[in-house]
Amino acid sequence: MRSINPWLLFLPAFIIVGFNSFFPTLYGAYLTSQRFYMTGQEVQFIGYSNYMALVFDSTVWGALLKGAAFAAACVAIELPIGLAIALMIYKESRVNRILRTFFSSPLLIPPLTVGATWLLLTRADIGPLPLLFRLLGVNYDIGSDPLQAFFTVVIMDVWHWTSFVILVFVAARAALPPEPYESAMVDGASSWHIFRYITLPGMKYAMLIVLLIRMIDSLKIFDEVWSLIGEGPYKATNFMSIYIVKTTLSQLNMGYGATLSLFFLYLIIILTFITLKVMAGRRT
Amino acid sequence: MDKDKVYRAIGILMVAAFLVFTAFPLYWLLITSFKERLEVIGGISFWPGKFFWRNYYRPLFEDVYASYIRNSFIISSVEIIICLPPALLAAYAFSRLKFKADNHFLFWFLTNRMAPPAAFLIPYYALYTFLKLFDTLQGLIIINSIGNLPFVIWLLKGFIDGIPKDIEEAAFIDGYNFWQMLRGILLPILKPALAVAGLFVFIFTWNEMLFASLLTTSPKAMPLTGGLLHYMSQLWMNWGEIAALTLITMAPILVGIFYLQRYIARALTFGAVR
Repeated sequence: MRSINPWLLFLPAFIIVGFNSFFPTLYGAYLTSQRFYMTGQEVQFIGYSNYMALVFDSTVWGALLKGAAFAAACVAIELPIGLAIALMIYKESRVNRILRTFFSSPLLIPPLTVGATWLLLTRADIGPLPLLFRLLGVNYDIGSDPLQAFFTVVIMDVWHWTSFVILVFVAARAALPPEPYESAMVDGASSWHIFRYITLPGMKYAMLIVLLIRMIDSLKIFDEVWSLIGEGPYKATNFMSIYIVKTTLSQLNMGYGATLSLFFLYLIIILTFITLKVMAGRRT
Repeated sequence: MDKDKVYRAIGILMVAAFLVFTAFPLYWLLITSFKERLEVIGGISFWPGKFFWRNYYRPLFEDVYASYIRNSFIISSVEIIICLPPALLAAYAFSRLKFKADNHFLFWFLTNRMAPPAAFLIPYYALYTFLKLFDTLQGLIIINSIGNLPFVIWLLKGFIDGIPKDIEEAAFIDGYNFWQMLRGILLPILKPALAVAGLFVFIFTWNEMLFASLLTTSPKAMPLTGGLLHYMSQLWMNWGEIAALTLITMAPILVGIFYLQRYIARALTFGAVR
């Protein structure tokens, strides 16, 4: 028979991912009700105390605020630059293809190596960036200046991810129909007007998608920051993932770490849900 | 129009500036990897005084980094085999067949893809100690599928959506059953898509750092990312070797990008942009 039970096809993937996700999430949820240090003390039921601690933990809200500021800064730099460069190199030609491939080179490399590369650039004792800033009369040291640390991480993210924005915008621009451009040319519209009234509206959807995806990704940032400066001077780069791992590794506070994890997990799931709703709204 | 020329000049300038911005950190990494320890500390120079190959030789042949590389290759390759077949079946179900709550399941898969790895760290730490998966290759292979399998489902679903249904219908009319149709019709069409999916899975697994560094401790299971992070956290910092190891860690990916560049937009937006 041609018919096949869809559940049969779906089951293997469901079992693998389910094993990976259900047990850890449930166990994590259980841990949130416990006082549990990895130092060997007695595990103790403490009800919702971990959640109360979270609500009154100013470090969490600071981490979220920094995460939001970081996401906003990244998007505010990456989207305009990405759009401008995409419009320069979207046409199919050999040079443009080479440029796109070259720009993408930092895109898929291990985030850890992004951090390592920028460590070599920014270390106060060996990096060329501190030297450059010294020539400009600025003392640049991401180990002691929180604002410099924060913006260095932003620029590192720009280096890592702008090419993703470029590639998405190239695809979106190439998919726009040529007719409106032709008639605008005939009407003698200025290139600014063409950009403002044809290109920009046509790419609105791609922009929204990139905005949401980049936002979620930058909120989750971990590897690069961890290997570059960790939580940074005055906790300048103490983003949510960093805070969770710190709580786990250095305080060994598993109960509270699990509470932070669950909270962060649901925050990201909600943002993902919004992104998908936007995508689904477009399809229908 | 003069204004257009100005716009164009600004555009070209931006492309050139971005080119330098992209290239310089990689260039710096490359030349640092050839500098001797004292030369790096001694001051800024834009070309190594003498090419010091020992930065590559020592970690690989006199230290354990060769086994880290081996572990990374094993984990990433096996990950492809673990992820592709179940994902292909599930992607077909999601693309072609209706079943109860299918959209909810599709979303649920995606949440696992998007979940921050740090959020799973604590339960996994305890679970893996209990299951004796701590510090094993199998453990890392299993944990990586949590993000990779959903990714492949979404990617392949997009590709299958793009195949006209008539081809399958014709096969069914000719008396093929589902599995024959899958082997004879779908697999040949999907071969390029599967190659792309496999490469992405390899790269994502290769890149993974958090679990790699915290759920393994010994050279028998630790992958390259974990090894590099541990090396970087040592107080005795040999920058030339760090640069060399960083380059070795990113080298396979830099090769892959040539092939994958066309698919990145599609893959990383869950197929929203083609």
